[in-house]
Amino acid sequence: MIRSAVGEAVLDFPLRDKTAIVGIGWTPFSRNSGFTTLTLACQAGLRAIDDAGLQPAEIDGVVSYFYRRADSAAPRRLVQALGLTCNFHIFSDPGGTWNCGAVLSAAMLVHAGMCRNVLVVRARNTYSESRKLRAQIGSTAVGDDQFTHPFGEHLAVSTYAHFATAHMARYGTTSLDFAHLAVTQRKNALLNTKAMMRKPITLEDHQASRMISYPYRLLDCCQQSDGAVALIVTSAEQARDLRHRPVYIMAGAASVTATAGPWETAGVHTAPLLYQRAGIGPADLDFAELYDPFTLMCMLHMEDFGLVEKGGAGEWVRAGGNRLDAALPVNTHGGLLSEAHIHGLNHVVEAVQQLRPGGVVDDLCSGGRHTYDRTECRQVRDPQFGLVCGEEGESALILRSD
Amino acid sequence: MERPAKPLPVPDLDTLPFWEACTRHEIRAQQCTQCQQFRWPPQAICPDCHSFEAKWQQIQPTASLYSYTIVHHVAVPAFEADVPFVSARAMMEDTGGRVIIPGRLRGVPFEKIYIGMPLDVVFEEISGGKVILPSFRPRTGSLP
Repeated sequence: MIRSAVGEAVLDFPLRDKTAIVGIGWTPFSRNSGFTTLTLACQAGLRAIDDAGLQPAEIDGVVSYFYRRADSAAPRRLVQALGLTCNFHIFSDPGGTWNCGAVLSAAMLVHAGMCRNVLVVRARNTYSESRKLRAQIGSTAVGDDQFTHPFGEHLAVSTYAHFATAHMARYGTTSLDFAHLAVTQRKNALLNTKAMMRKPITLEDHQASRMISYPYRLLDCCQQSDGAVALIVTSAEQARDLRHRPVYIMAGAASVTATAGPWETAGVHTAPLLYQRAGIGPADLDFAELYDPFTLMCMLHMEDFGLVEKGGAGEWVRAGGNRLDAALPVNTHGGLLSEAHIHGLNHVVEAVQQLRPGGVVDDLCSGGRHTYDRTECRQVRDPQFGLVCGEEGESALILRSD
Repeated sequence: MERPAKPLPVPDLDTLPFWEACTRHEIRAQQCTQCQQFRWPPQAICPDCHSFEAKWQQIQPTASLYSYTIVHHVAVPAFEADVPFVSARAMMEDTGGRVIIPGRLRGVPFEKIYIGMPLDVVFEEISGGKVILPSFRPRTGSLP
């Protein structure tokens, strides 16, 4: 029996298949967008609205998120910029943990009758603007930072490297395992015209890349990006009358909990809730888009969401279990590592693309149909169910095709 | 040009006793007076029993290595001369595994570091002695 955090039995999930993602949009991903995040949010937002076949005036809810510094266009400002009338908005600060939480919040707003059509958007100029602030941020040691910054640990790569050394010690995972993951995701990015990293890499390139924070080398680290992605959530009922076949939000979960140690994530709590709510299990999935700020964090998600047994991700990745034609393709767009770092909302957009009848629109296949030739095509064959998760497994969705 | 100094911890109402103890070369952590559990990071309430009553208990300066990274790249120039260095978390002994504090790990070749290795706390002065940070050394006799 699955129980919620307060111990009650979780029975029917009232949101199951009641809402859908009906529009997606994105700007180019770059290291210097040349636009404010407000402009980026408007560009991606309007594309998503148009993709849905809606008019801007039909958007009556906006959800966005950030981490510590409110660097995404604030929903209140975005509403003003687009001349909308908004019935509810959320601007939340849990960062990459909340890519799926943002979408689930939109679904809850729609299902509760608070809004009809909710725009979920994340816009950032992280490469061109936020990078410059890292020295300044690392030079103060207030709040939680008083226990890291005075010791010289002020970059995410160092904080997250603790997960990696802990996992390596406990399960024997190696840097070469990380290399396999990085290479596989780069191969996927080569088939994605909007990916920022489109130069092939080899295992040797990974092993020769410079050490950033042991055990993480440069090619274990995600990039930083400028750009925006957006999507539209509406009711399943309305979704059936819109431009694209809907991609249903089958189930979602967002949790925060203590874990046994840095070799696991809150996914150990999120995953059972998610699968119970969806009524399917990991064996039913056709692909997964898993938050991947650093290689091992993606592997933790593979384990904690039950794609492989605990401690088995290194071996699974080495055997290619996560590749496009394997049992369970992971990060088909290249992920944060090789597509772009739009705080994981790009992972949700990729899942929607994979699940639409025509599949992804921005691989190298021409002529309107997918060839499944992995020199040009990144479309998964006839997927029905896709998993998406956020940082440290704290939020997740199962999406399904119509 | 004078380099900006390394950031000093800014104690707050919850953490001040920890940093004050460090200046006396002591490690102290809160122990709940109701349920006797230790806790970290410092906070006014016990996460187990929700009591606001706690003692700042002095604990033995002995620990085991919980997790670590070897930092090769920093964004703050004041730390550039230090790289590569080991940033560690140490699980303090006799705290039920609850108190896991940060610090540099020194005095061990990188290839000999292993999780679980026994450590002693050593206190380091920074900023001309105004602030004391905990750091760790391998326990004497624990390295082959």
